[in-house]
Amino acid sequence: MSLTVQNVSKTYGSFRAVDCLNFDFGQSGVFALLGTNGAGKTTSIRIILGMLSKDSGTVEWKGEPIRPAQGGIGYLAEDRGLYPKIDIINQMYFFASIKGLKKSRAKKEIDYWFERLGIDEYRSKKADQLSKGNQQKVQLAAALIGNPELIVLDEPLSGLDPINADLFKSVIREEIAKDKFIIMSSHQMNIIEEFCSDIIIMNRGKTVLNGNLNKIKKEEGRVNLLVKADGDFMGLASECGLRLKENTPNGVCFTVREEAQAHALMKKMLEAGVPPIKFELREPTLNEIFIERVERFTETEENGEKGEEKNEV
Amino acid sequence: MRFKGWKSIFSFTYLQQVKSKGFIVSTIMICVLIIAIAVLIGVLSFSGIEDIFGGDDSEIKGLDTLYICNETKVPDFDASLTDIHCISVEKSELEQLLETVKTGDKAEAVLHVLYEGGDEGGNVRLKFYRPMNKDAVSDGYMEYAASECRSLYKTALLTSLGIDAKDVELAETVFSSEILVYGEELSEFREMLNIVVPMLFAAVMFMFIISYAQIIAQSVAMEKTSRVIELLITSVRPLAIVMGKVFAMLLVVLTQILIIGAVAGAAVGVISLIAMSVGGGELVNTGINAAQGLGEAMQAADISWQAEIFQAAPGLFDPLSIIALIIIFFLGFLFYALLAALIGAGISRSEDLATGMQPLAFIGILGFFLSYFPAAFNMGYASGGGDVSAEPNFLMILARYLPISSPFALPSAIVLGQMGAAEIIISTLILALLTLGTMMLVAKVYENIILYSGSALKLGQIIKMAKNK
Repeated sequence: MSLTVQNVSKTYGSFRAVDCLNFDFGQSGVFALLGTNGAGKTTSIRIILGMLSKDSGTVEWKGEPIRPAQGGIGYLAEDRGLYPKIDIINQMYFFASIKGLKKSRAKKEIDYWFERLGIDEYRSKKADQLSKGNQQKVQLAAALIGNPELIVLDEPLSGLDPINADLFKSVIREEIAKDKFIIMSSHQMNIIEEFCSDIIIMNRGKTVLNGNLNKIKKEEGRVNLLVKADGDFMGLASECGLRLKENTPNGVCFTVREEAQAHALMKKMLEAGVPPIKFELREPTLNEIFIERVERFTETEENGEKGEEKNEV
Repeated sequence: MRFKGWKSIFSFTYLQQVKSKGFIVSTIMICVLIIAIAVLIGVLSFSGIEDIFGGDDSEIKGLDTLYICNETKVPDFDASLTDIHCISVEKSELEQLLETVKTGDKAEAVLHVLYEGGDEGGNVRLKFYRPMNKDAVSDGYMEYAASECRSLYKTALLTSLGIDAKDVELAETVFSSEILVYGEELSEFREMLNIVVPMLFAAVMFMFIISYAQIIAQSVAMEKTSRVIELLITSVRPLAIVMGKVFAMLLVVLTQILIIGAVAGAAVGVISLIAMSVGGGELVNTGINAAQGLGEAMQAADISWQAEIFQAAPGLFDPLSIIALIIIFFLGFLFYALLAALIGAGISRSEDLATGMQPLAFIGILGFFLSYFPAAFNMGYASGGGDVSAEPNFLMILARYLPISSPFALPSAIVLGQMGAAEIIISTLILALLTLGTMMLVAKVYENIILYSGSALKLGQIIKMAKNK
């Protein structure tokens, strides 16, 4: 069982929203779809869900081309939607019925999710009488009803308080434990790092980075050095060729080209009688990878465009 | 597969719509209005019968005594007034008697008959003086007595001139005149039906079709702007959603029509039953005539209203015509509802809906005007003393074939039997073709525009999108 996306492109007029998207989501777990605003994430999700036609390429789920409205998919859209003037319980039965659930099974699942998400007391309320967080819970329940194998969560934790965010995380963990395939899109990189095994980073419709998150991090290397000491060591760091990244109360962070630079700094600090309180050589965070890759991509694109302009002149 | 899930949309939309405040309030309001009209008609009918026709003689006994001061040469005309005690008085007694009757509480009145004018001609006046206290003698009784006395005086006058009873009856015949075209003679009742029914049908069809098209557009736009649509289309295709919605609304309209029809039928039935129990069988007809507002015309036509309606509106009694009516309503509704759904789908912000709906509202109003006003033009033509209104004018014919107006114009033409089978089929086919074209347009572009965001799409832009696709 897998989700395979091959050479998918989509153009609106002269604007290329998605340009040759490729990825293979072969094992259950969470796959992250990342990108800046307007990178093409929502268009990609809509194509994957069969909601939007593509200009080229294929999307296969369980070895079969995905069909429009084929069902068996849970979707929590970024722009949340409920009928504002209709009772929550009636909406839930309706969402269950369009997923093909019989009333008895729908009742069982609705009862379970309302209980699990703590919204049972709101079942006879209208959507516009609920807080944003509770509306989000109803929408999560609507996405998960019918026990879908493929789940798409677009910014699932945005706007939630820490308690409800924790609740959502625990539900996502339960779904992972049930061997579900979850595609998650978020700008909260810590959430992605917490859940995702594989990622794809998009910018301007193109794929900037694609692969296993651990592998990517390993390939990037341990390029961050965090140092904290009582004495001054900035001159020593400079002698070792370390580039200052940021200075925070938690310590000074340097960018290292190779690990030997960090070893050299440690040696010099000890010799100078400035022993480190904190000395951590670590891999880049997903946030750092994201920013670095997107900036690099943007620069390359802009240079390419300038080059093209020069050639034209 | 393309329409999988439409039943869920259908049942959800139907249930939510019939439970909505808008539906309940509008249905109750229309029903209350119908009941109020029925009650009003009933009240008017009863009072009319009591005061004008009088029913039977027992009601006249309220006037016990009528003092008659007759200054003319026509003798004893009051002899036939057997139910009222008549007392002849002299002119000298008149003034004192008038004072007594005026302030008294007895059921008595004074009739002063006098001749005004010279030897070459003049008027006979029958002056009735009633008590100030209206409880003593009601207006209705006085009018009845006046009418009877006038008639009896005229008969007595003719008899005194040597005319026998049979000739007197002949002399009292009511004469009327009318202008007709040979072979196209219509009763006043039918002429009125030919004018009123098209206007009424156009208004009712327009009200139901356009108002529900507006509701569909609102519903589609709401689903889109609230983003519910994104959840729906993971399981149901947009085309199935719109078809489910449109058919559900069609059923909502039919439900409302059935409720209103049932209430109207019950109201007329109850009023008729009350009328029967109070005033006898004749009241039923009078009540219904009044309901149709055509009682006088029917009296003039001198035929029973049942037969008249059967002749005037044969479409109401013909199963094929009723099927044609249902098909036309279905096609017309579908045409306007699908266009409304397209417009609703092209809206990204709910506040743009009114602007987006303007072209469709314009088309609908144009179709309605085409169906409504030609009937009024016909009325003007007929009342101007020219040709009679049985023949449809050019605009009426145009309205019956033009698909934007035929849903409003065809039903009345079918009900009144003004179109042949071939004409009905041609007109329905034209409407069906346009509706089919609209369905194809929806099938072609709906799935793309439902996720479109930006400024409201106009109908022209949507059609252009379909061409480019």
